Amino acid sequence: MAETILKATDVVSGYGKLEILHGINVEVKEGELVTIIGPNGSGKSTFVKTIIGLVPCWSGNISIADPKENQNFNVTSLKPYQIVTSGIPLSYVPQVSNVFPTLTVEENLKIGGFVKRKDPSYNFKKKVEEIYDIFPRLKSRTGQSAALLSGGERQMLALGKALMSEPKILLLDEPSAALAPVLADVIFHEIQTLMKLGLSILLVEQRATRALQISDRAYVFVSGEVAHSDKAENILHNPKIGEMFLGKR
Amino acid sequence: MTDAIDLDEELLYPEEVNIDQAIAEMRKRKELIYSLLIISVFILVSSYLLTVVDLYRQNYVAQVYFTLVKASQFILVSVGLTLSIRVKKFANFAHAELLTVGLYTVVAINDLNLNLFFNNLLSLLFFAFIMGGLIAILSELLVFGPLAKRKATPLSLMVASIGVGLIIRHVIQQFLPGGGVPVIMVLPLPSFWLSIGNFLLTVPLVGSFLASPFNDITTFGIFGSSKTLTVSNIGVISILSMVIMVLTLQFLFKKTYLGISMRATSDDEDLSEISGINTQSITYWTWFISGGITAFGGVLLFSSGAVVPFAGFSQLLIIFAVVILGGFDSFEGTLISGFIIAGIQTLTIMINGIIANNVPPGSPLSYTVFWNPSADWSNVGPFLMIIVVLIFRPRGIFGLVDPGSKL
Repeated sequence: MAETILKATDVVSGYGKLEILHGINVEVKEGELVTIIGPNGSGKSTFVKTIIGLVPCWSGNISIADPKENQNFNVTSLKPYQIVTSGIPLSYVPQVSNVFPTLTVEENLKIGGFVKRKDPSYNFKKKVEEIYDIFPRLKSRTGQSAALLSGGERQMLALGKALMSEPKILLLDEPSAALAPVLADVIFHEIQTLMKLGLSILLVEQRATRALQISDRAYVFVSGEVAHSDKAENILHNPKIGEMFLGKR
Repeated sequence: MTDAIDLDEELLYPEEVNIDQAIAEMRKRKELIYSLLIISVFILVSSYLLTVVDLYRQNYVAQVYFTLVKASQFILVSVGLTLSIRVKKFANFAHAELLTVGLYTVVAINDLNLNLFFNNLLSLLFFAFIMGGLIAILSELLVFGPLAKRKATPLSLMVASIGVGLIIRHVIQQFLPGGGVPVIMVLPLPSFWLSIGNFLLTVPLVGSFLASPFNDITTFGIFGSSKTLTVSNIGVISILSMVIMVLTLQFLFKKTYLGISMRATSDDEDLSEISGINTQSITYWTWFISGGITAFGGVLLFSSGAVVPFAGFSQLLIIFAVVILGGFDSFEGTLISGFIIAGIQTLTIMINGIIANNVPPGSPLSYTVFWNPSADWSNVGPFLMIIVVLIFRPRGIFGLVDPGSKL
């Protein structure tokens, strides 16, 4: 039985006085790809932002475990930079503006690895080479500013930047948004490649069908609550959910 | 099987970036820098030739030197504003007061009458830097930080900065030596500087050019001309500090954790937080460096002459001129426009002088000269230049964004 890496219990959060999430329970186990689907405004992105600390958590508990070092971190009330700098193996790729446009590709990766700059065992150059092995298209663009990248390359850079801090779990907020279908396929393919590296991924996706095809488990969010959770293929073949969210008839 | 969610994909379709076009644009930038270099070499050579032929009795070499000094001082006092605009996204009108803070730090140390270490140029400049940086951090701590936390717009931050400037100016007027009365700022040189001058006098070839050691000013002869070039210590120190400052900032922004984090924070604050950058401390560092350089440059800019609490404020217009011409948030732009503004200023004074000296009184051209033939046109030229440049290129020389999109 794989260990639980991310565990969110009864998470309530929202913007200002507006409550968006009304008690969410989500769990990600080691080596799992878990997808959150749901209609617009159901709180998918808000949930991911609550985990990383961009949206304050009103009540409930979020913890992240590092199975290798046998540590358990409580991230419920931490600020984003505190989460990243205190060695919690968590990386987040936002939906839009996920790279620094005026910085070069290499500098973007550098920022991803800054967290580890005091770790003597961390080799920045080797890590960059590893990233370029995963995303060969980035290598030819090392010195270019990120604003000049195409949509797909930009997503790759965002993923690479997130991988620089050697996370155990990745939070991806709609990585295929604003991409052409062909490029979206490329990104989904890359996500599958990342899974082989032993990462756990929590994926929020609008392209539900495509995401479910590659996921292990899935949660269906409806207006800030978990309406359904099951194995991905069960959800994919569930006629009721298919009709409501996947556009099947 | 249809995917209902894919419907608005056409709307979301990304705009493909044309790489060739982008590369061409970068080349254009390089060409611009090269052409500026060529122009400056051309000006140097032609001014030397003009001195030799003694056209209109102007000392062109001295004017070029004067331009270099002025440009260095303009860049030193303006680059901090560019930095704070880039990271904080608003125009800080209290910037000019940081300059005054530098001046009065020096005045206060002069007043304390401390000998030895404290009372020489280098340590005075150092203390001005620290003090300017601290006051800038203080203004962020007390005013800009809390306002930004309450989601203040760039406009309200700008208006608040005018208030901050007023407060600093009047605190200085009330509580510091001299008050509203002009005080003389003393900048004694460190003794090793003088010994360098004395040492140079012993070198046969160099000694023949030095009329006096590096006491205050040094006069050089110009080959093939009866004219001389008088170089002041402060002038040389201004040019040197400008070069060192530019190189240091270049290194800071390209190579260090702090510099790259600063650029990242100016790009996207939320993303920086997610990437593990403590944007709060980056903001304080930005203010410290920005305020420090400004106070430092202010001391050099006002090295000659009396100091009043309005000294910095009087330079606000020219500082903004330099920054706006450069493109508001561009570091290279500020660098080049510092030279342009100083050059045009010198040129205006020179043309005014030529007209005053060579046109007989009563002729139509003589009416273009104001009653003071040396200086009164000196700010007209630069601002005319800015108007012309902004008509053809509204975002400034190196501006990254359209003027309407931000600020």
